[in-house]
Amino acid sequence: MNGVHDMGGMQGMGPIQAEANEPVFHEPWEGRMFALRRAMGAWGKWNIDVTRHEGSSCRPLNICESAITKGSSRRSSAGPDRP
Amino acid sequence: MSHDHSPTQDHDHQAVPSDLALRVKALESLLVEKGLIDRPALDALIDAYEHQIGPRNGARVVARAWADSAYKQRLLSNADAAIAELGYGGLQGEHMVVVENTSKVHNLVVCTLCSCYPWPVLGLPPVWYKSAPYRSRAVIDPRGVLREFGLELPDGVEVRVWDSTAELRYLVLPERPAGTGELREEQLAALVTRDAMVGVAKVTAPQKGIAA
Repeated sequence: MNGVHDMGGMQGMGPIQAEANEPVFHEPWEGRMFALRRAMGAWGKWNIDVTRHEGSSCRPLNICESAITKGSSRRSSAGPDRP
Repeated sequence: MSHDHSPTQDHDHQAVPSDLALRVKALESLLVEKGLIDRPALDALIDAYEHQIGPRNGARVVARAWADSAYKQRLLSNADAAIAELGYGGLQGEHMVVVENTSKVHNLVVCTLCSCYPWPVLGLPPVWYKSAPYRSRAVIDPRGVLREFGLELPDGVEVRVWDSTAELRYLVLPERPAGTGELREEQLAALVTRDAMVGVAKVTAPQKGIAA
């Protein structure tokens, strides 16, 4: 299968925008969400295949947008699926 | 064409938290109420990834390889075991491969599918590593990508691009810069950058006067 996440070789995505002295987490919620996921993972309720399936099932345009916009993780538009 | 790209310029001054921040807060509260998570454990995880699990770990691995040729051979032949010798390993770094830069070969690491990255030695990936421009172009125009990072490679240097997977993670062993023969291992480690271990930069020797 192919999908928007399979980006190797695509063209037209624009310049690379590297941030100097980038923090590990840009906003507190990023750290909280990362830690929540790690902590909940310890319950063993899902495996890597479930994670991949869920991630790849997100709306393609959302995946694309969040991957193109620099620091888009800071903006709610890159968040979970919405209509 | 000059623009002000100061990172503070595009900061959103929001009066209320974003939807996403509220969503995460609600999720955390719910999971705490259900007794599934412990807030101090979350704090400890955040602290670990902000202060302990990061590129300084990888820098120590690289410096050891530069200083100890037997270690370097172990690192190149069995990276997991050699990295574990320095106390690093675990999640997102279970199957490591170390690729060596030389005067004739330059290695570059990418994850075209998402953001696979060797956490135990480099920490969490920067946004650019996860971004579409890097992921899409690293495999078809690696020299162009390197140029954007300010690294121009001579035509005679072969570029090898390594596409990470959910299991396999790569660490670039950069070339040891000339003029560092006198430096101790800790001093060498201080020269090694995250970007050099991903392969988008080289390690440069310290300015005269700082070394020794």
